[in-house]
Amino acid sequence: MNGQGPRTGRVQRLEVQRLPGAIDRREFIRRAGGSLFAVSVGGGLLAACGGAEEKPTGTAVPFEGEELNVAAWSGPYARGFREFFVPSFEQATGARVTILDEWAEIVDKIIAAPKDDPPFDLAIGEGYTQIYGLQSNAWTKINYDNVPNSKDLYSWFFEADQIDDEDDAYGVPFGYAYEVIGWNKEKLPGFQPTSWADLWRPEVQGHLGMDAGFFNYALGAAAFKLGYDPATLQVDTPELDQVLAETGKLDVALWYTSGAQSVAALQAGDIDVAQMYIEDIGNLATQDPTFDWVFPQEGAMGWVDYYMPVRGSKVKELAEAFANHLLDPGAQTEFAANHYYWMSNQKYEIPSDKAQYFPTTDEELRQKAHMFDYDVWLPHFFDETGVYTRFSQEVLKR
Amino acid sequence: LKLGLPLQLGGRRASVLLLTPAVVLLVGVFAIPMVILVRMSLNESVPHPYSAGLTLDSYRRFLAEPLFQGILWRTLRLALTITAIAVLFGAAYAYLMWRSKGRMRTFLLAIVLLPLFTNVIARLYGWQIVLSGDGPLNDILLKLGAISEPVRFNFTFFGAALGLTYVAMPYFILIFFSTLEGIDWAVVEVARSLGAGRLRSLAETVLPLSSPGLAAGISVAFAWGMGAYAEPIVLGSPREWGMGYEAWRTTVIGFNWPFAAVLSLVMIVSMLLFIVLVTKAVVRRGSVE
Repeated sequence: MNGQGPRTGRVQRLEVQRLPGAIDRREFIRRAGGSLFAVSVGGGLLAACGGAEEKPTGTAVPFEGEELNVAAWSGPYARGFREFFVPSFEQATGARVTILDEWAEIVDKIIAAPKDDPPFDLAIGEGYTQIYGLQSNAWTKINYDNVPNSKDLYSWFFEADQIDDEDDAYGVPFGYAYEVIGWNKEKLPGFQPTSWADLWRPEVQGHLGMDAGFFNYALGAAAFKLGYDPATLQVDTPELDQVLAETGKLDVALWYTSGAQSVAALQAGDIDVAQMYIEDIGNLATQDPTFDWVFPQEGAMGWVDYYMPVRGSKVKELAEAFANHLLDPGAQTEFAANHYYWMSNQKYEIPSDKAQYFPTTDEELRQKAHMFDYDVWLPHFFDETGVYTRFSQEVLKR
Repeated sequence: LKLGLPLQLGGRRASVLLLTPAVVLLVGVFAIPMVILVRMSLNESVPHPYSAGLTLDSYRRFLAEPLFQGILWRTLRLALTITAIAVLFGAAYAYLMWRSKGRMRTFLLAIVLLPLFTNVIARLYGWQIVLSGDGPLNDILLKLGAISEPVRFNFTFFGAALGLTYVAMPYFILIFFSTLEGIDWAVVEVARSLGAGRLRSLAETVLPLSSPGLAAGISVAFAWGMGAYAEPIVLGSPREWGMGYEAWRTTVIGFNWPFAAVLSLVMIVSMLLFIVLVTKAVVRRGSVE
């Protein structure tokens, strides 16, 4: 797929503009730290390279004519990528970037493809996708020399491990996203939730939407209510038994397997309140004041998105250059203004309308951001522990 | 008339040549994937998603865990329900289409075909709006006084069955209609001229002659029900998430390809058994009568 595959119709086609000067790719990487977005927005690579006086010294636009296939989460996320990251990168490098809308099948697609011709060169993944990809040799270690923007990241993004210490060896942390409580203000005029425990209030029973696709999030809400740490719920413990029993008490109208279902059901009036992905309810509430959401006081379960070079890619350096661009503070500022991710670069500007709940320090990130430990949870997902079977029978009543 | 070279060869060689493309297609598209699926089901599931081996562990797991047997029975129940509805309404619709002429026939055919031009997920979300608490179906029932407060149709067995029937019925209608088209109406008239009443003349002539199409239509509707994925997810509750969903989840989330292969094979075997039974029953009944 590298450089040969046709571009799909859903991919935004952007004309590569010739830059006023040109440098080779080594020089490009050296100079690119924290500046590429300013380059393209400012209208030229010269500005990026330290000012209008400095002339490029190379003979070719770095990566010109090369193609990069990037797997990103589908929907608004992928659209945001096409809008905020792709044009500036294409303009500066001469490469063509294809953002592919993906979800749970990323690793399976890599496994199914020839080892030297993967479907993606750079792929998104949170802890769950990462660990499965690691077990399947889907990723290749990233060369941080090619990612100079990584020196500006919050240290929490390197400390917070969803899988041992391997996560940031294979991918660069891009941002943190999470699940919150969303509801219909017109249907529930007196309902103002502050805690995950509010999902158990009598007036919302029978009108609830809960996450069954990644069922750990549903159990996480109950764990928060009971005062347990959802991240490390172990099998064969009284805590897990209580969490399953507590989740089973909910009268859930919709067990959804994708975020789009929760949005559709909330809009259609089939549910009035739900555990929701922040990107879904955040966008919905922005477009329609009927809906609102809250970041619960206990914090939220979430995940860090990493971008990992895929094994067998023929354009690994280009993939790393794009990964570096994803950490660009200017591009991250633009992305954060239109999305709800807590971005990884300390230098990005937090949008004023989100300042009240966006963390600004590593300490705040440690307090607010919770993540599942997939060394514990992966066996639950694989049902080696029987937790998924118990969830299906005791909670979903299957 | 001058025949082409292969046919000039005559007899056995010509037959082999003519059959070759179909055999290659069948082997490539059906037989080889089935062999791969069976082989995958015998692999070890750990490390994930599989490792080469020769074990019946995944089959033992399916037989040992009531969860999966329950899912199979509920999948069968849903598939049989939608098949029955498709036969009842689809056969009547196909008959009406067969007996119609001109614009009416075109209109009836268009109603069946038009939904197939749009994406199934978009259609299912359309149904979700129609069936929702604030949707038009509840509105109509409330205005008619049939219900006093909105009824939950979405995320129920009813929702899943309706969505599946909506998706599967056009295929049943088109298959059954194509068989009816091959029947000469004069046969029915002969039966009536010999004293058979309206219903009896149809039962004695149209039913036996259309039995292959009926069996094929039933098989297709049942297969839709057994393999259903999107319809139960969008319109059903977790109790309607059938074998199709479980096979997907086991592959993509559970990363256990051997067990997913077993689930798929159970689905395929169930469908084959049903198709054999139905074909035998329907066609035998047709030929006897």
